[in-house]
Amino acid sequence: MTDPEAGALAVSGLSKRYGAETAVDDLTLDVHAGEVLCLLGASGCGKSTLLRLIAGLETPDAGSISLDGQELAGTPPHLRAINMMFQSYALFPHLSVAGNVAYGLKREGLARAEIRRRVHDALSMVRLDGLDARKPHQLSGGQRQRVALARALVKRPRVLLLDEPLGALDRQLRETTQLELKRLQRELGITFVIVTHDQDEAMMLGDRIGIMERGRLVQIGPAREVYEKPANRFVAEFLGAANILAGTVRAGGADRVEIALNAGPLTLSAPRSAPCADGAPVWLAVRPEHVSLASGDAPGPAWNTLSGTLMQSVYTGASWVHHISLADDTVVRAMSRSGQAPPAPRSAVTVGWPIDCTTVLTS
Amino acid sequence: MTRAPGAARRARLLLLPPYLWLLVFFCLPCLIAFKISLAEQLIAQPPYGPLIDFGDAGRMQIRATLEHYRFLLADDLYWRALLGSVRIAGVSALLCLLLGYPMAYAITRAPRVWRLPLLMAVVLPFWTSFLLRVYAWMGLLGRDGLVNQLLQWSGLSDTPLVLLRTEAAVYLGIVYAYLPFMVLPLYANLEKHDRSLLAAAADLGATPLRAFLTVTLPLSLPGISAGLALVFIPALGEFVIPDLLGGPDTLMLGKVLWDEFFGNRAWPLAAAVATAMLLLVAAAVAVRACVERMLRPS
Repeated sequence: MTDPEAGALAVSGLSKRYGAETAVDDLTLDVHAGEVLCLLGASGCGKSTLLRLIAGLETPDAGSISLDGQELAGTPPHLRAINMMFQSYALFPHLSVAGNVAYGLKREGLARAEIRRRVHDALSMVRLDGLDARKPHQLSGGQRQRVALARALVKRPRVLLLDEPLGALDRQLRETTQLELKRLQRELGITFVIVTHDQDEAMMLGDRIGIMERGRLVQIGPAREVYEKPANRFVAEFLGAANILAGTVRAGGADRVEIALNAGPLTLSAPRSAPCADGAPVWLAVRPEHVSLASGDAPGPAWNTLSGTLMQSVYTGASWVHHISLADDTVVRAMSRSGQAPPAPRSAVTVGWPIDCTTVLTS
Repeated sequence: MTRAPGAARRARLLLLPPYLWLLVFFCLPCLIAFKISLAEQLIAQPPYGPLIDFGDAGRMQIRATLEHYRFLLADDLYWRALLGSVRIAGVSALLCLLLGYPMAYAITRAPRVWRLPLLMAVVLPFWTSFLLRVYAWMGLLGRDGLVNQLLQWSGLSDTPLVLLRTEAAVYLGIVYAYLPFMVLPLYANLEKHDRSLLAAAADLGATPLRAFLTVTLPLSLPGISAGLALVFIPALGEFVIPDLLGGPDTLMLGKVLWDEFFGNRAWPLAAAVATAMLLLVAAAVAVRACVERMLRPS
């Protein structure tokens, strides 16, 4: 349907300020043609502003945006081969479903028959056949979402920007809609840039995930890479849960570093990843699902172990999540399968995890 | 309805005073005027005959006549006055729309802190008496008025122009007096528009002008309709402005009514004019209600 090479977006040195506030701060980003990139960040991190800048609805203070090598500065939004699905959907309340979807095609000056055919195709693509004559206020939230999607896709953009596309849907609908979005994207081959604050959604939809914090892109990469090798504490804690332990580099071998924990006279090991000098302050990150309650003997030399007091165990269905308090009141979360009964609260426990699952973070 | 019956009764009680007010000061006078319009013209005090009469033998007689209405329809003075009123009120309403729409639009686009002061400025003339403001226009437009003095001083005109007592002066006065009634409902409508709709229109390929014509304008039709009604209806019966600013050939129903009532002491005829005018306004309101219903998403 679309040229597989079309839809590559290059953002470089982009900045946008509102008064004293910097919404987007010297941001550089490459979106490959035909990929799904999820921009993940807390509200107010500038991800929606970035989308509006790409769509041309805002003017950047600095930097450039180009689509397939063509600079977009100075091109007004109505002339960009980029379409956006708005968070509020922004459906025209006075137009029918068909009128909403046809709106963009009419602006292109297409023939009536062509418009009718493409509107029909777009509506059946999002499975809204037969609802042409309804007005937006007569639709459910999920239907409205699909009208917004059809209205943007019918223009056959090279890049589709989606601002919290599933934010207004309830959980169950969200999951089926995620699959639907993925199917559509694969069929059409259009580049998707999706903004979301929901990490599960980002992991599920994105070929790559970009983590944004205060107007900057902190890390970008495939979901697995970002999850397993977070660039800093913010990414580790934002994407999934993480135990963060502060410490100081004691000594290091070729592939291992020894770190003295601030929490007590304890030394843990981690694979050497980032370059870190002896005596430098660092943080250790380990995912709760890698931390288990050690029973009896030490699990082995390839493990890190810690002792503490079990504060509480929370049943989450698939597993138990244990909260263990260390000597300095740092809380470490560990997990165990839900089949086993947890130890009694307030009992002394030892937790452990494989050294290879430990990440050293320098910031 | 899960509301307690007591609460519903109290709510109805709240409605009572305004409706009582309307009954006593609107419905009853209308009925009295209607009654007078059916009575016979007499040279007496009051200058009309009774509707119900107990004649010589004490028999009840109803003396109603449609003669005044027939006269209204027959004499083309009233038709011309009606046409004049509709034309002047209609053109004034359109002029108010052309002036008021950009004003209301600009106020909604102004920085938030400026919106209230700008709206206050629109309403500011109401702080002075309506009559005084119309007299002020007489001072401005007169033969030796400020406008003529300025024109002559600047050399744009050698002789004073006839500005006062013209139809143009009537339009000027009505537009000036009723402009706030156009701006306020339009502002109330435009202010509620979702800005993301315009962003969506731009994103879908609409130029700013197209986006205005296809999104903002159709969504503001209820405001336009309300503004037109609020200007057209009172302008239709306007008496002061055509009387003070209009010329001898400015024919409007309000002025005719005044002349019949005070000039000719033809109370029944004046009452018939008033009743006809009321029906006309009611028809205008009904048309607007129909348009409104068509515009509203079903």
